[in-house]
Amino acid sequence: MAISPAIAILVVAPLLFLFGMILYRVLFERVVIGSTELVPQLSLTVGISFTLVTISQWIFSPNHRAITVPWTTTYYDLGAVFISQAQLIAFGVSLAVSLLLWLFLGRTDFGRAMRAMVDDRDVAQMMGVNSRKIYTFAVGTSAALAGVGGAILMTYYTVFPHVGLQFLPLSFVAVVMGGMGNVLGAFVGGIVVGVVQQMTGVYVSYQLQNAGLMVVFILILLVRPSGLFGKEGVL
Amino acid sequence: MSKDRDLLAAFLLLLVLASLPWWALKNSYTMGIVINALAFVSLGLAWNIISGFGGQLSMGHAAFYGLGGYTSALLLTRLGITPWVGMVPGMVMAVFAGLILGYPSFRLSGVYFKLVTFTFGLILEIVARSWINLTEGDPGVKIPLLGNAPAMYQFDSAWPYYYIILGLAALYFLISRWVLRSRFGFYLQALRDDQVAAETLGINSLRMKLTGFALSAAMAALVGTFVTQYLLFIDPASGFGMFTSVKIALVAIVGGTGALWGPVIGGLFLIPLAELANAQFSNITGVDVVLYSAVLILTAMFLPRGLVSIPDLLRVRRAPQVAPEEQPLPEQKSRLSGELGLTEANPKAE
Repeated sequence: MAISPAIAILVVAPLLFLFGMILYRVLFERVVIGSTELVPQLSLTVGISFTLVTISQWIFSPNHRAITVPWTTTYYDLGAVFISQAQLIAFGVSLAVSLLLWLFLGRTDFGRAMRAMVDDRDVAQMMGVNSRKIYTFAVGTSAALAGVGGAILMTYYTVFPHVGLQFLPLSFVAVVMGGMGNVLGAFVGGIVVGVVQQMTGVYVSYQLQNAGLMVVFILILLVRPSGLFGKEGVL
Repeated sequence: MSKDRDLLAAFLLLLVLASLPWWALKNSYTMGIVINALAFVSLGLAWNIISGFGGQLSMGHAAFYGLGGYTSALLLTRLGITPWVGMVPGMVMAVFAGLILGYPSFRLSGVYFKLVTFTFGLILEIVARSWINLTEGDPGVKIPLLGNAPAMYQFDSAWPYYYIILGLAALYFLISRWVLRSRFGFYLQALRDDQVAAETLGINSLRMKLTGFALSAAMAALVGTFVTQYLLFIDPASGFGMFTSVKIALVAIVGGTGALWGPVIGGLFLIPLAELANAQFSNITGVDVVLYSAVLILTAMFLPRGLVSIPDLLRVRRAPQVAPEEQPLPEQKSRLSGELGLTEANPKAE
């Protein structure tokens, strides 16, 4: 049975959305809400992450696996650079997803309510925002988007139980560098991460590409503590 | 617990632990379990300084542990410098890294520090894997066997290692106790409890947190050198890996974050438990990981203040048995207002 990753996304996204919502209602909610302490939140999420990784190790074995789709082997020659079709599709999908998320957060009532919750939970609740609904939806969306990212990346990376740990620091750096809570920032941050990584790889040393990224990351935080597009004083 | 009882209890525990190899730990396997537990007690105590007392959660403490281990190991294999000396540059590296990370992230509140330390550990792991010329990459650094060479931090039996790590854990306990009772420790805890109020009173929050973080990082680095010499080996995953970071934090969290005894109890409880589980289910890989995860999740949900809070919880359970009318009302009120940080605003109200 072979399902194209393009179709798989349509399955993966709703499934993970559901999974995220269940996770929130069953576990997160009991710990996160009403607690300003970070320790329990962190313990919980890290614990869940480890459990999932280990379980997937039992089921799928720790081996690397790769899929081959026609996209991976098709390359476009743009003079100075080669771009594989898979990467181009990944770019298109991430562009589309970011745009949708941005429109959702900025243009719909639900999205506005979500942002209001971030700014001031108490006031938002007083204005009639249902915090439980918002949080459940937010965790679900977050899981679904991560799933879409995974499905797309797997067309040109290998997949194994610990694979998430490779992308976790990169995505975190992208988000914080761009400015937390800002879709445009995350998008630009992601591009900066990629460019800095590749530039360090080409011009300094391939082995040092993540070290180069860390240097740029810390420099940006020193100059703009809340990220490139972040509002001062957020968080 | 009063301060004298803390010391007395610690001394008794130290005596028991010091005597263990004479009657309980008959082979190097069981001794290894306690050595491992004591190493994590030490790491947990180090973590507790910045994350427990200071309230700044470091989720990448393995980074400092790994820096200590890698620095002394590489100095030994490349330049032949004894780890007794090499552990000092290791600590310096850790302090330096701590300052670089702390300076931008402490100026922002909350999540940033947690995330920056977390990322730092992961990035160091990737660097250690990929910068093969320096770190020898994935296979890790192996310490050459020298037999019994005390001058090179290498012994041919587990005994000396046992007493070194026991001494280190005892030292870290004393440091923690000193920090808790010092002006510096009060500042840290004040910043954790209410940063704005503490700053208003003139506490330099950035400086205090940086000091705490540097101390904590140096302490972790020293344990890194020890474990590397004990195992004669360090690799990217065990040195910088997320699992090591989480284990460090876990020991303190399960025991009780910010409590003097937290990491001690957490480490002595959790590590042997995980080892037992691993030995029991040796055919399934990752049993310890699942066990740690389960303990983490359960602690988060049911015991957010850790094992040390169990006596308090029992005391609270028992309290309602006192008939309500017998409860001395004024005392209760003053305790409550004390907790809220209020002075008697309306003494005539009752």
